Amino acid sequence: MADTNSDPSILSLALRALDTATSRGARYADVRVVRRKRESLSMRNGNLEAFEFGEDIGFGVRVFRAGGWGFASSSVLTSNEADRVSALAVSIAKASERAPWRADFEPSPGLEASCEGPCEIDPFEVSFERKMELLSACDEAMRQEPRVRVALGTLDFLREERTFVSTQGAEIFQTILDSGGGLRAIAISDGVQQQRSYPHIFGWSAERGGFEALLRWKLDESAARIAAEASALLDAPSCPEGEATVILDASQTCMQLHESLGHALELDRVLGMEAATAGTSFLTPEKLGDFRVGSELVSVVVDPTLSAPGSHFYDDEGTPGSRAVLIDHGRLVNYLSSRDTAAAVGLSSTSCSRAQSWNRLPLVRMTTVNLEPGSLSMPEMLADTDNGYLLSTTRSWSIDEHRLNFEFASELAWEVKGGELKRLLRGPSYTGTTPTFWAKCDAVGNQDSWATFSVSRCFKGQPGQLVRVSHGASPTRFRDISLRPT
Amino acid sequence: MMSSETLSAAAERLISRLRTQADEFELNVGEEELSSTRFARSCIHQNVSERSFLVSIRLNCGGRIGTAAGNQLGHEDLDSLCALATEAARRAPPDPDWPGVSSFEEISPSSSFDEETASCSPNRRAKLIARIFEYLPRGALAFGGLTTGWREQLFLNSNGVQLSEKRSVSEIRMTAINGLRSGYSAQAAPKLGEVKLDELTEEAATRASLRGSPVDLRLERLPVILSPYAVARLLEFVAFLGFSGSQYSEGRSFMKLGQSVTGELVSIWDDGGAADGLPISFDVEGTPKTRVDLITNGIATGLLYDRRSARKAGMESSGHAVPQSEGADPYPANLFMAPGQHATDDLVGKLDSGVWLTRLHYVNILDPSGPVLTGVTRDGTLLVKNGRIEKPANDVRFRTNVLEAFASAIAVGKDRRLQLQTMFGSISVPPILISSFALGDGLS
Repeated sequence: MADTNSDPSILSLALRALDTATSRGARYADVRVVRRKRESLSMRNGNLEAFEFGEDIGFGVRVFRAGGWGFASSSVLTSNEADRVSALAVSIAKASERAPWRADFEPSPGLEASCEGPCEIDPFEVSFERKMELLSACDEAMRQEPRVRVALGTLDFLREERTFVSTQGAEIFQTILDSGGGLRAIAISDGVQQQRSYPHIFGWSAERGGFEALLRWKLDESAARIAAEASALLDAPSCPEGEATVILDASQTCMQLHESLGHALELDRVLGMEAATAGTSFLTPEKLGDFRVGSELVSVVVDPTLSAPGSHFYDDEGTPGSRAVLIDHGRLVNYLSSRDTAAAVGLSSTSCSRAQSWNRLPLVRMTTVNLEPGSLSMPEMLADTDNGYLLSTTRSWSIDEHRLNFEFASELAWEVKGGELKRLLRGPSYTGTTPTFWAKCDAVGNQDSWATFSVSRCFKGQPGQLVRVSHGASPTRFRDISLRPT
Repeated sequence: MMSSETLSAAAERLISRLRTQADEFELNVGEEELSSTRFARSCIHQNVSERSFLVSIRLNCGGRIGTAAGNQLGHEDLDSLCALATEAARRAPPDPDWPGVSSFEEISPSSSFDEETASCSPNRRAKLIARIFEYLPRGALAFGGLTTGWREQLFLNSNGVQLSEKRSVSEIRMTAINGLRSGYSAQAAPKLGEVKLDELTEEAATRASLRGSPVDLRLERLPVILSPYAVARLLEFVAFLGFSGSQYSEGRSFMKLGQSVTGELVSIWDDGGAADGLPISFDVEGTPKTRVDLITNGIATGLLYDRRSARKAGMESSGHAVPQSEGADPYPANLFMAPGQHATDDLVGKLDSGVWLTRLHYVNILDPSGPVLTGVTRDGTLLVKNGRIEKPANDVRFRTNVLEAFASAIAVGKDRRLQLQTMFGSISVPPILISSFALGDGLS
């Protein structure tokens, strides 16, 4: 299959779809063609359980008529199908006018661009033997631990070629590559299970780039450690219950950021567009500018220009990616938004209109949402903590429909006493209410301790969509947090 | 929609290539159309339709297994996909646990396809939704989505197995919001005509119209009635955590075959062919789905297998293989809990003091061995007093060992509600009156 971004027939198909939509009465239309190429390897207890190649391609047409939106998509790349799908999108938009959602919609300007993400070592060219060597070394190291009953390792690579055209004259081509994977060791004894994951939750994360990105994680150097920790957790005492000082490592902070702030900042949720499924948000528009979401140390930005899974040069309605402050030293100042949602509250889009692929309608999604680093190094933060717990790697998370009340559990905790790490503890969990919790943040790690992690399957919408998002954060410390064992 | 002949032609092309390249192969070729009309604040805000094909190949070359998946049916694309799968197999190490391909020759495909549902127009969906808006009481707004669609699936393998099936589906989910109060209802069905929109609107609206300001629930263990939506959400996690043979053999499951794992009022089974669910006849390995009684009167009696886990356990596959991209453990596709004898109103009538829980949100796992789950209530948390639903309550967080909670069941409702599962497949469960459920951490 030819590279779509240099295949004139793909552009021709997309432009034809636009023409048909316009001729059928669309006031605005855009067309996205996405080709995805994937390779994944999954090893379980020394056995390569899955070695899969995947390729798919299709196009989606989004139209706006007098008052309604319509979207239709297909994997059939023919002129006849382009006409059918465009006509269908227009008829869907017309049907929407029966009960239209009033939206001020200013389409993105007709930009032309061709962009490509970083890649030093094409992972699709790396030999199978090299990939197996890496997975096998990790697997062998994990299974040295006798009580590790399940050793899991995955590698996966995803290349996307995106074409975007619009009735405004936009022609945007983007090529991005993500390389990901990770490890998970599950230790079992007497009916009790404990797990450790690396580099992030459920043994997966990804970076924007080629095989060189994966090598930076040094998976083989962490395999024995996580297996030993999983085994040790079987014998570790339970986390105690009570109010405590809690330090979240960078991975745990990223998940906290994702669930309690990231989703709350999605403007479509704020406007009630997801009320029936994912929920709403407590960050209602009258809170803009004044409302304190967290302490002075808490500043959150969205930055799709940072090279990470979920980022882009242009979002799925052609808005260029740019950095925007969402929470400024604790105060709510902006949202994750698309063009129509931003217009509804008098703001500009923060380039967060994203679809799972060609087949689904773009929704407001996180891209790369980061907690700005602070001033303390990790050793300094620990030394400054007389009595507390360091929690690492999210194991479970739950939050209410307004993104307020949450419960998070980590894979493990270390006791911190007199500024030093002491006992390993199992089953730590903590609860809180989002703004109260973030108001208790009294330390944020510095740039040296800052790291990015990806979420592989962030779910939203109906029909449901899974997208990758990324977060950057340093370790963070919170006082007087309600801690309890799971 | 593309004809079955086109899917068959694609399959024949693949077979002609793979016959000479592989010792064994499995092919899944399918076409799907899915349309959803979503609404918020009693307006249609998202309205979509998608059409897609899926071609997946798994093959065995000298004991080495390779997989490839795509969505194009052109000859060059199919040839390329064969080459990719073959290349993957040739590079892979030998797989000592490869169970071979199935050899079933005949199944009875489900008869759940409905042309009217499959061809439901955007106008028709919009009209039905507008009816919901009209039906709601003044002050209440509607949020939700109506979905209709169909899927045609072909399976073929190197043993000459050829299976095909066409299914349709419809689903409505709605939330009625009236100030601080809300109510929820949902239903899935193979035929749109079986979806009871008026009744569902009434159900959601009634919950959202209860008089009085929501009250706080105290942190305590209470008798609760779990609606079918709440039961479904909990049971999905139970299924995810321990109903498969692979989890059992690795020591990851809570199931203890032959032993009591929950209360005697609880019986759970998966039955792919059951017409009162969303029937599906075979899995992605071409194995016919058989009924598996998982829990019978509280006793763990069965497990779900795919070909690999079955071989390891010395069992036969029960037809519960899932695509690798969905996760490795076998999973139920048409899951049921046995109904009881009681009308829903009777369950409420049995409660002197307790809570009705309509919907559970963001349920997640605290301890897989229990399993112990956490989550929050939403869209109709209602105080029950003296056998009547009295007033709304503020939503709360819960933590529960699900099977222990089910073990405290006093009574089970007779009216099941068919719903779509979050991952895939369907689930049909009744409401349950439970004597002890831990609620707390009020969210007001």
